[in-house]
Amino acid sequence: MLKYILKRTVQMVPTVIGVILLTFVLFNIVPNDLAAIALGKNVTLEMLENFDQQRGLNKPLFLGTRAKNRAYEDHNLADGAGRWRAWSNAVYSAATATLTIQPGAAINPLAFPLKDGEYEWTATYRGQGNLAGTELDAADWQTEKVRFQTMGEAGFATAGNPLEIKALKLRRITTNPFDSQLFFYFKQLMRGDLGFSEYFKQPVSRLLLDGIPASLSLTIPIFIIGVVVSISLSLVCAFFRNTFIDRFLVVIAVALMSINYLIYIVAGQYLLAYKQGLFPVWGYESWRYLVLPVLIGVVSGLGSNIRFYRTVMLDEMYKEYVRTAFAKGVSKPRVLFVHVLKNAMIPIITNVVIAIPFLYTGSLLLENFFGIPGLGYLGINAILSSDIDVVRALVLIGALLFVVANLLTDICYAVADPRVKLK
Amino acid sequence: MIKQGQSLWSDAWRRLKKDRIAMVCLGLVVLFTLLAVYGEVVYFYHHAKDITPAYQKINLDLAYQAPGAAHWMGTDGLGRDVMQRLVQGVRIAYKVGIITSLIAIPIGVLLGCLAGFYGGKVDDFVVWLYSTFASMPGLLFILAIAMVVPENGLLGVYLGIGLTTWVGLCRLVRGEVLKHKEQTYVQAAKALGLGSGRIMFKHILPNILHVIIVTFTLRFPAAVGTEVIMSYLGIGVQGEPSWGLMIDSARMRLWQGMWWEMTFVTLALFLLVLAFNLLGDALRDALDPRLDD
Amino acid sequence: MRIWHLAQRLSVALLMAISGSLFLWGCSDGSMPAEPDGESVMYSQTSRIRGLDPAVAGEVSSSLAIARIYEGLLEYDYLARPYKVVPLLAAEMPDISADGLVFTFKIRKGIYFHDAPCFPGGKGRELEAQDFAYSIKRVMDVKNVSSGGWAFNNRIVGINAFHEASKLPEPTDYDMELEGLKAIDKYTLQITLTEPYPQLLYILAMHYSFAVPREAVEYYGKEIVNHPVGTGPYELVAWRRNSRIEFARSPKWAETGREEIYPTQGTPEQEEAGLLRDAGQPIPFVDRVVQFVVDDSTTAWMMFLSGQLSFSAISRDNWDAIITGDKQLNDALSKRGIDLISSPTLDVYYMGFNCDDPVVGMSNDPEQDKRNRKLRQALSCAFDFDLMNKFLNYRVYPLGGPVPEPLAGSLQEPSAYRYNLEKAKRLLVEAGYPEGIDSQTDRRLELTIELGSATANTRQTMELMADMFQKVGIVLKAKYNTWPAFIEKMNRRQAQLFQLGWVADYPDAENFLQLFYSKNESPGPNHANYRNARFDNLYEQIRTMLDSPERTVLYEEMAHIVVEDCPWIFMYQPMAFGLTHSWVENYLSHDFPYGMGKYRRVNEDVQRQWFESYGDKKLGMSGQE
Repeated sequence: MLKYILKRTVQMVPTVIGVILLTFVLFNIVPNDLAAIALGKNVTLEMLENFDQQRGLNKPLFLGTRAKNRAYEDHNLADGAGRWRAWSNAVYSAATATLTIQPGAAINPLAFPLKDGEYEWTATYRGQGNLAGTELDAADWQTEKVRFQTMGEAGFATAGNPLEIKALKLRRITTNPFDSQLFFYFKQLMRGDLGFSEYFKQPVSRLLLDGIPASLSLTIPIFIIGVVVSISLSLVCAFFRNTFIDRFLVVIAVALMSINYLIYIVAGQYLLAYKQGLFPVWGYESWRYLVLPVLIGVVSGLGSNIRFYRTVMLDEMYKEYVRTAFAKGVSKPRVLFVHVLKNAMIPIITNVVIAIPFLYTGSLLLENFFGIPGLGYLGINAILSSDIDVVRALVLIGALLFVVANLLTDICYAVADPRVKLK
Repeated sequence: MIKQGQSLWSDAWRRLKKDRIAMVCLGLVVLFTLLAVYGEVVYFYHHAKDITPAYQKINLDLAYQAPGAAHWMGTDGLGRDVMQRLVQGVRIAYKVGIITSLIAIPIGVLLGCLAGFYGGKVDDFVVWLYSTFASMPGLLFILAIAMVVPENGLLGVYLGIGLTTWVGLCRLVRGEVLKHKEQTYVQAAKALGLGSGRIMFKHILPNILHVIIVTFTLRFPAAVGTEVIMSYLGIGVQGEPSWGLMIDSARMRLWQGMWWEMTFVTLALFLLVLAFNLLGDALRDALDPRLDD
Repeated sequence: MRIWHLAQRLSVALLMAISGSLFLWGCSDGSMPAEPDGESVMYSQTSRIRGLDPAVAGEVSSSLAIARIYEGLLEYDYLARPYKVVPLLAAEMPDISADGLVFTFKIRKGIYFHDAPCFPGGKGRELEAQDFAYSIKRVMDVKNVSSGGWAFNNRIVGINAFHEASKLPEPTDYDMELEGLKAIDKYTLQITLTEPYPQLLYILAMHYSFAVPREAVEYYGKEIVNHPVGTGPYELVAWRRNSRIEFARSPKWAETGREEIYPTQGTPEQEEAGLLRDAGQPIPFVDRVVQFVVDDSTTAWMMFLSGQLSFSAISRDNWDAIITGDKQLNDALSKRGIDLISSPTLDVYYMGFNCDDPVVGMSNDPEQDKRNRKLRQALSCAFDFDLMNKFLNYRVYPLGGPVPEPLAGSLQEPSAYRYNLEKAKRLLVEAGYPEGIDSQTDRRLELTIELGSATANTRQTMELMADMFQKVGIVLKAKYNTWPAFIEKMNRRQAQLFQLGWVADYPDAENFLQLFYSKNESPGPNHANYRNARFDNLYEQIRTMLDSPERTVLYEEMAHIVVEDCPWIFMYQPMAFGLTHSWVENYLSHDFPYGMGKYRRVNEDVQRQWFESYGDKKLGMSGQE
């Protein structure tokens, strides 16, 4: 048994790595501007760069020795002149998407003084001129990399001839190729640091811990009551298999399933909470505030749960041993409760255990509408305000919990049916 | 030699015809499909001619009119005809359902087939991939994907829903391929020296087609429902009248007695989802070769 | 476990669940949480508060919360109009040197910080002039990532040296002597400016300048966002970030014998409205303030109607049901003693053109530049203010220029590019787009506008705008972004058109004119990336001019330049409308209401009576019976 557990745990590791990679890809690769969110309406490029520096956001993505810098942000000249409008002796032509630096000009396009270090321009140019101390001379389009150290000599200078630029990029050269965002992320996780919420100015782990109790207080009742009611009703279906009651319950279940979750919440909140005054409308002051959301959560899930458990029960009922039992003359209730239920427990338990990780995110919508300050409310707010670290942490933790739950399920399975271990 | 496939389909059709509810649902689905096609034609016509379509024409004086002769389902807050916008909503719903399936199905089927057929390292890789995706917490993951896609709009919705639904299909397909791999007809084909690709696509695939069809029918309404929630939250469709947006706009007004927009949209949504769900169930029962009452 | 047992247990559980719910059903009454007896509590709604550190907070909701707990040298007078700053923690208005560069403030004696564990013995110490110097330095400390750097940057002698020094990795040295910011003695603060700063007094009334004790910062470190320690009338009691914040009257004021009183001077109208009833009474009146973070406006409206919230905004959808034709409250609501409050705001809403854009922006080529300008002017002429006003329930004023009324610098005469379809069409021809057709594609010109939210209101507003543009043959495509995605696009200059608003930081037209100063280009607040040499020149002049008729003349000239160049379509200046329940007294709206909660009162008798009469009789959502 122990060997089996160990084997499955080891098999879990690649999935965990996959999950971490996936969250990284999703949240770091796509461009987003944490700095701008944090700093408000009156920002300068320098402030943004300082911020990025402090949070490790200006490192290369996976691997590499080139880091971006806000002093000259990547700009596609096909989109327009951008910041180059500031210099009258840099003429932009929309038709060819090139910039022509007039003869006798000295332009430094950097927005603020660079910190000490080594930097590199990558320029696609044609003509003659000087960039950061290196002479450029090409009759036709050529791409060249120019390195320089400090701000003073970082700009363009032309003498008698113009210099045309088609593309320009600034990068900082870093010494350690492994100093990348991916490794920064890994190191953070190893330390147990889930990141920092720019929106709330709190470490994410603190926000998660604060939100978990509220989420659980909502999802655990929904789960327990939901399971109890659904299994009972599905037993009823199985008992009255293929009669009117069964078909009626199935249609009701499908109908319940087809009503959009939103409608449940909107109608429930208005009719029961406001109009009838049976429940409070919003808030989390006492357990009374949970009744309506729990009710809605149970009812909305009832449809699909009943169908699932009914299928499980019926699958069991079609098996040989049930027919034998009936043939032997065993009474229907006894067959149902003693034999079918017991054997149906395996898929039921699987379903139950798998659902556990989802308890922790709470219900995104229920929490949002009813003001339950759990992880779901936190999650929706984080998504709408692009609070990347929070969303990433929620997704990561959810995924890890799921992996662990899978492991537990497999172990339960192995306990219930030892044949599984041999596969 | 009788090809196994054909008799399965005609058998299934027979069984389906017997189920009255299923036929009604089929009729509904056909009706909705026709509406969607009509909506698409209207959209393209106006787009090609570069004129603004009627369902976008604003007339504040006509705002919030109850259903009547001129507007069968009333008008919304900007004076636009609800019925026309509803039909456009069907079109958007269908787009979402179809495109997300177009993303999910090829990925799921291809990976499932490869994993089931080749086994070994390929199988390990595919299992790892779908375990990783399956671990992601549902709605949150979809919203997160939609959030990071730069163009806030339908693309985020498609990718979000598509990239999460391929998992279930992949698992099913892999399971089916594994089952079929051991069957005699496959062994025979291999013995005849037919290439793996040919075996996979010409022989095994037709036999698992029913799984794909049922999955499509059942995932379609789920995709539509998710899109409604996403649009309501503000992540998703823009510019065109999606049902989620219409519900959002109509919500506050409902309680003042302006019930029409909310009611008709909710009803349409309900009918579409119900029809697909029931049809999917019926199809599954009809196509399942095991069930022979 | 035998299965029969299991089944039995399941049924019992089920029965318990059902009966439990019935029990709760009978018991709950859906009313507010019970108040502690004898206390006066104000319940209201707020947007999410992100942090309670004065140096760092950037948005309104946080600043309002901060202003309950912290105080500054000056504050805005509650009743005075036009807006005026008066001393709060300063003993009197400052002495200003002849050249206008040296401000000397005398701090009041006997002001104490709240008790907190960061002080020896847990007792809050007396406020000193040094505290203000410290607090301002915190804003300029790069490590604090403050959003308030613009307020002091380059204005105070020596502050930029401090700012540079704070960039070093070592802990910032707050003992660094600054020529321009020093405490001459325990109760005297002297600020020396690098150049005249006409808005300094307003800045000192903003939350960035509020006094923060050094001990608290050193004790709490980054946690100070959660543990505010100020001198104000309220202390933080509980804070659940996403949902609820609670303040209670600080015992320190009573303990140290500090008394502040309600203003005694007001206009005759204010007196008639009952705003001087509490003249001379000690503030604050309310013992406890509880605020809920309710995201959904429908939910908030329901809570207001049931008396759970004391204030409410009026959403567009509810408007015509609540407000009758002559801008009065409907009968059902006024019968319940609900008051309608309306006041102008110093906000402007506009559609901006990105001057970087080749189609609508400014260009080096004078011909192209002129054509683009005509396009912008044409679109401005296509904007139908009356239609927009109708859509917005007639709640907005037209804008003639970049400066809102009633600030000096607002243009009295209507803009040359106000709604005029004929003129719009003519200008379009001159711009090279006859009937809106782009000669290069032979289709109508398509323009894209970026927005920062995707709410129903925003969408409908954009659909209305698209309809207006469509009348001159231009197609407007709207792209809805989340706010952060939108800000990023703005900062990277990636929009073609965009819609934004600007809320005044202080009541001076300079705050609006700076939005056109070329040095404030993105990522600064000049998101139109507008550039005009003459405007820049004038801006640099008025920056150091105190209020005077000469300055107003220059303000107006600058406004004219902007109207002519048309980097914005001036949409409207909104009026603020809100509802309050009858038990809220002394309510007067203000554009800078920081700390003004202390003037308001909750009349418990009226409140109790209201609940007795109306607690059970719920109004329909539309505010009708």
